[in-house]
Amino acid sequence: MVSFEDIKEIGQKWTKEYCKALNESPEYEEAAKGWGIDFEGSMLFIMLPSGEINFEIVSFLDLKDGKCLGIKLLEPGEDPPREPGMILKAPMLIWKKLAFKEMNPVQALMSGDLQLEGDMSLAMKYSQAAMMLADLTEKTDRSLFTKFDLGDD
Amino acid sequence: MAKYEVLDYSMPRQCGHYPPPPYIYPKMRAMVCLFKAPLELKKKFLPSELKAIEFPFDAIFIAEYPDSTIGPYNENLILLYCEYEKGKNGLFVMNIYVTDDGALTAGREIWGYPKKMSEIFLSQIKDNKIHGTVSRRNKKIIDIEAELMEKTPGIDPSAMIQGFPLINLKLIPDVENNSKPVLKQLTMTNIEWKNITIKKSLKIKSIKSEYSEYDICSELLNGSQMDIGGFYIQADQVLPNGKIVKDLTK
Repeated sequence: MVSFEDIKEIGQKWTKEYCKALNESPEYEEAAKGWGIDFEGSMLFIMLPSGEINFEIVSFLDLKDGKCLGIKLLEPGEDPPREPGMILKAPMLIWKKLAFKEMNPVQALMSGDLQLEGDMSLAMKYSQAAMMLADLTEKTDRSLFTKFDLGDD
Repeated sequence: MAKYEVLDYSMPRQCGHYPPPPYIYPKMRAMVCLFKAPLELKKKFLPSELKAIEFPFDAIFIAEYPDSTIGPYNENLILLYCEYEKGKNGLFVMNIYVTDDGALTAGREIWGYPKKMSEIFLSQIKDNKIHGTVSRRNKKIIDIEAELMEKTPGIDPSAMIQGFPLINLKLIPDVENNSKPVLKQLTMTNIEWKNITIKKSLKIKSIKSEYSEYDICSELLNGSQMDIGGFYIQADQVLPNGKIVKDLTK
């Protein structure tokens, strides 16, 4: 069975690349302008167990005004630095499908595979930025999603 | 006293065709199917004042109103996601079909909704399946089959519609001059859903749209990605007055 130590390095690499991809996207910056200014803009990505990964992989994204201030891969049981404004939760297999554009975020939300918790009016107001959050995973090394057997649907 | 006696509000002046808003729709039910229209195709159907945005979603809405301020009727809307002002997004109402003439005239004359009459059917849920159709001039211009899913959506679907204003291009032709309208306005309305009793995810099994020379649905729907999903809702709906976003009358 895979342990957190097995994914730690590759997970940290992914969080760095993802943050860089967000900061290098003028489209994301434009769409997310104002995000987190008068409200908590941080997000928690929770990857639920799938296949041989039987633990949650949790990343804390510090997002503000169209910029990524940092992404932290949390250790098992570690609390996020502060209460996130929004939480996105899905099995690891669904995150893989999102990262490889086999599924789009709205499809995943409508089917209930992806769960969004937080202020819906903000999520709607910044829905373009949210779509770009998914799109920009393409610019990262996605081996976090391919290295391990995540099972089937 | 006539039912809608509000002198000089709507025509005919002593007994208008409809009362002023707000309009209330108790116990309405609707299937809302999301789709993704390609940007180039979407541009064709949006007025030049609105900016096409490819996603997050476009939507088809088929509703049954067992009662309302203007009586019972059924309705279909096709909504295209767009930017109506810098940084502000909404759902442009490309088409609305209704089964009642009061709904038709009120919608066109008050809010500027692009309404036409048609036959609209929304089945009851049977074996977790639902079926909706819109037919006009002997063509089935929309035919949707969907299945209710057990999982609840990962987002409050009502927020997806209530989160965006409906944007209309209200056009009134000039009695003297056919080359320019006497009134041209971008208007917006926010519908509200209250007392939601059912809110379920839909898996779209099929969407068909037959070509009709009198309607423009088929080109849009047959050229779009239609397997995004949707939701089914039962609620009380309120349609308030709208607002003028921009007066384009010259």
